[in-house]
Amino acid sequence: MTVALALSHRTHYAYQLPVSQSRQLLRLTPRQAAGQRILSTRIEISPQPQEMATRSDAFGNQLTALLILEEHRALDIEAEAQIELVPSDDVDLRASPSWEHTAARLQSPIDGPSWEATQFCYPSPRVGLEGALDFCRDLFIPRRSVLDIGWGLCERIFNSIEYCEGVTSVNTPVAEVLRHRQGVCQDFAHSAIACLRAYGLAARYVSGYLRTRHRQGTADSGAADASHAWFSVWCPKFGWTDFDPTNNQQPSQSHITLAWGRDYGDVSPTIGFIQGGGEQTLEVAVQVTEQTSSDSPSQ
Amino acid sequence: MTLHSSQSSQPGLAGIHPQWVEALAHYDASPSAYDELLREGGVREHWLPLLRQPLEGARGAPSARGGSPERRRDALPFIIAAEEWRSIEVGLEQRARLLNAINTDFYGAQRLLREQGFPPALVFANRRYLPACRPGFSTSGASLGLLAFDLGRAPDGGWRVLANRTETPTGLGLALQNRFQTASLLNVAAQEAAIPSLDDVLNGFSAEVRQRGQATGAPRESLCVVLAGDATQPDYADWRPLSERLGFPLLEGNDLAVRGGSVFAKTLKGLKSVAAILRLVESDRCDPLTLSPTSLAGAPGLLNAATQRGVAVINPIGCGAVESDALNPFLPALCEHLLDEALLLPSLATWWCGQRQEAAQVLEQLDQLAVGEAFCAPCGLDADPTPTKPDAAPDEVLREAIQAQPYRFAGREPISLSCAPCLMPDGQLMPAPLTLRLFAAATPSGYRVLPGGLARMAGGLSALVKDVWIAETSRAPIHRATSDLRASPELAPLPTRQPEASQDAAALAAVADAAAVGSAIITRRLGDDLFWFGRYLERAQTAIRIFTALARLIAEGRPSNAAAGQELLQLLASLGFTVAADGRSAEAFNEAGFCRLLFDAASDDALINLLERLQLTGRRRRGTLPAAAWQVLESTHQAQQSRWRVHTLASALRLLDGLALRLAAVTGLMDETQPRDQGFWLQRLGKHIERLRLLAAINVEFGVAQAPMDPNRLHLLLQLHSLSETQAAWTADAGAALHRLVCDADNPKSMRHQAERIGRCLERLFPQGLSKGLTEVRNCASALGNELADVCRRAGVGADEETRQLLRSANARTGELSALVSAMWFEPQAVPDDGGSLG
Repeated sequence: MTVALALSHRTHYAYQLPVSQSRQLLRLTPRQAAGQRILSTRIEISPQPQEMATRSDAFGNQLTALLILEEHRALDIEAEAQIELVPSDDVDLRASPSWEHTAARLQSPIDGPSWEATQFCYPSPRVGLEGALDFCRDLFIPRRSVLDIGWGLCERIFNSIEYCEGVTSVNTPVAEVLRHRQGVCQDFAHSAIACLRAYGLAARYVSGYLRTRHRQGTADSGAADASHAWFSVWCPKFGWTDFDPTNNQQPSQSHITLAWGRDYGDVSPTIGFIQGGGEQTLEVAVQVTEQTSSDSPSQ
Repeated sequence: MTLHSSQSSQPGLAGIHPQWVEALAHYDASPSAYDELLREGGVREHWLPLLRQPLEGARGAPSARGGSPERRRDALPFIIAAEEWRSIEVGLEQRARLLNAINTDFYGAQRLLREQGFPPALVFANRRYLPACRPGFSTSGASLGLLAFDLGRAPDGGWRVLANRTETPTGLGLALQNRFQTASLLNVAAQEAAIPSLDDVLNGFSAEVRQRGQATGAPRESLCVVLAGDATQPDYADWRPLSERLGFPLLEGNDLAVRGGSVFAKTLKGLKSVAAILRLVESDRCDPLTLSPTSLAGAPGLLNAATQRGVAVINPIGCGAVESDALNPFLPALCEHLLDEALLLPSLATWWCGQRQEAAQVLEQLDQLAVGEAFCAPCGLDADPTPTKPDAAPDEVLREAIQAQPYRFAGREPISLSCAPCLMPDGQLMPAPLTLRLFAAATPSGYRVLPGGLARMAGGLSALVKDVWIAETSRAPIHRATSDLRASPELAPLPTRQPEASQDAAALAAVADAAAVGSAIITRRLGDDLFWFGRYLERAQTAIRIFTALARLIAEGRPSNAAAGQELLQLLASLGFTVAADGRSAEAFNEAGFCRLLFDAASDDALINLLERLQLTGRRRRGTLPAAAWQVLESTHQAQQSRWRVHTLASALRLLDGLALRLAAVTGLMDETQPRDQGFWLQRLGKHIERLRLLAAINVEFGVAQAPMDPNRLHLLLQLHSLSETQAAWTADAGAALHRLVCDADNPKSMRHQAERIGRCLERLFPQGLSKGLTEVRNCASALGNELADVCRRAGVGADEETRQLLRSANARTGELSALVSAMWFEPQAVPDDGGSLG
């Protein structure tokens, strides 16, 4: 059953001193992805930018670049989208190719899809592989299917890493997360990606939103929706399959994909460069609202 | 190099200057290494012309410094035979084409990986490959413009390429300087050796950069610029001469603004369109928005402008991907495939662990090979490219790291380099191992290799650099294929420089032209520097005057001086020259206390801090400072160094007098020689604002408006204004003093004079423009003028509290004025309607 959603992502910057010039790069427009249809998107900026342009980045994500030359003390970015989530067929994870076969294919890609996947096989600026081999050595038993490993990894991370805000930052290396076993969704995703890449597999970082939060004990309605992140693993025939280690689930009609890349650095929703401003405060409000009634809850 | 004496097939030491014979007796060539100078039974032929010259020319050379203080220049060049050079030249030209083709593919269709079976890890595991430079899988199609190569000669006599440098091909500026200085040291030898000039290739390169800039569709009068780091970076000494030679202004990321996909330079006359950028900032530091967000060395939005071809960036951002050692084993195959040619000049043997067999081999020979990062970080000129045998037992940590992520590592064959003679400080000749850094540049007629370069000593002597000369030893036509500089192909017995004269003149004219264009560009940052240079200079001079007055008071030793001394100490503290500390000032009023105070760096504006800042600002804007003024300024270094030697008032006074004289000389030299351009007026503006601030403070502190004025204090006050006794004759009473020091517009040390000059500087600086910031500056300056006029109206009345109040408010106003001028640099600039032709 198709689910229609209205997405709103509001960002508010308040500056202590006037900002004379501001350049922002936004990744706030949901990209085309399997399982979702983008009906419409809109981005509103205040104050009115002198320049605003959209383009796609190296991974096919939608970028909005803007330049504000008017003096301001606050910046508001409102991104909205109308999206339909379509149900996907159940897949038999165990039917996927073995991880050894997949890794070998990625070493010498022979077709378009495996070719596109090879760029997600290696360490990237925010995903070093140190410590990853040992963390999941027992999962990589010979001839085990890739997606089964993906699932196992999802479970392993969910069970062994504590969800804990304020302990890590966007710059915390994976090795440290694996050592301290604490972090947020971003660290969960980075850890899984490091493990898969350490064994020569292709894994990418996906940023987006949860329709409702399924984190144990915090389940609530759409009012407190937040930005989220998970990972995706590739294998021949099956292509990319998403796993959400923060919630120990396979996303299905519950996750809205915004962008993907090698790691958080490739998909950060706002990057800015301002002149002046002094200290700044940032408020983000995300809301996902269901548009039409659906007869069954997701999953 | 031509041999005009009879050609001997076995040149022993015949014909060699006795000084060389003597020096060579102690020259201890290593039997195992290839020696560049000596061979079995004698001297290599192509060194002979140099060896016929007396050695003392080189010996007498001052220990020249190759740009940075850490780098020493050897007076002796490295000489390479022309036939051998030609093979290197052809090989490097091919390598330039090859690397360019690889870079184009990596950031374009990626066919090499997709269809030709080259391992994808070469690109995707390569941390120097930046996906952001290939947005939307489109390519900018930009090609490499300048490449550097490090070469070394193996014991078998063959040359190996040790490193390809595309990211920041540094060293060219240093090579230019070297050529100039080595050639003038060994003038005679140089003429006889007829070393080919670098101008031809450089002019071609500059033309190519302009052409690529024009191809972006930028307006005709757009600039070509060099984008580099600031003066504190170690390679600055290399960038500056290169920028000067090419005639492209040397800018920092801060000087650039990106608007609507085009790049502009923020000049004092508004935004000026930039068509081409010679990039000497590492790729990932070029754009904080899309690349490394922590770097301020680039300009936000630059990458997008470059990929959309709004500006030509040379070399293209991201091209560091092709300088990796991991590529070495693939170059022969890539060359066959991309150019349909055999690779001419081999790389040093390299095993990349991204391949299973090679990885096994490296692991087996960990104790034999130089193992390191396959995708090395960008490195500056100070990095030694020579792989050496590991001196410790193989490390288990390294072994494990290779096994975990093999593609990150490569093993390289250690090389024992050839040795060439170096002149040691004691005048002895010593053989030292060396590598060559050579350059290829794109010109309208394809890649050309610079006939010369930089020889760098390896190992412990890596700070020593030499010029590279190419010498003819046979009667073959000189450089027909590679250099059209020489008009006459046949060999004269003694080649003269005559045929080149007209070419040289043309080249000189081109340089002068380019320099004129360069000097017309005053960026906001440079403007800010000039403004502060004016201020620091004035501030340092005033500090010196106050310290001098204080030292004299102490030296006189009269008990009555103590009160005045305290006032001077207070003045020093209130102007920020010393840290205001209660109770400490009493201690300072004696010889030892004074010497301590003079060198106390605790305050931001302490004299030695001021001198240092003056030097730093001067160094940054060295190009606009008269050479003599720069030298004088540098000589004030001694102040910092003399702090351990100055223990008496007499020596302190000598130091202060010396400094005062030097800074006066700097001021005078600048007034005499600087063109009255915007830079000049900015510096003047700084000087007058600063002087006004200091005078207002001094006058308030010393109660210029108090009556009656104690003659001793009056004397002191005049001294602080640097007015002489005879000039002081007319300031017998306080009313007259007030008039002279505050209101007399004809007295260059009066406050009124400063206010008038500030107005004039602003008029000269901004004859037409009236930005928001400038309007505020003007209003503030005129308010100040009015206030001073009020003070002057009161002069007849005499000094009273109201006058003092006015002086204080004038003092505050100067602070405001200074803040407004600084704020002007941060105003956003709009793109001129006519596409950047303003000014």
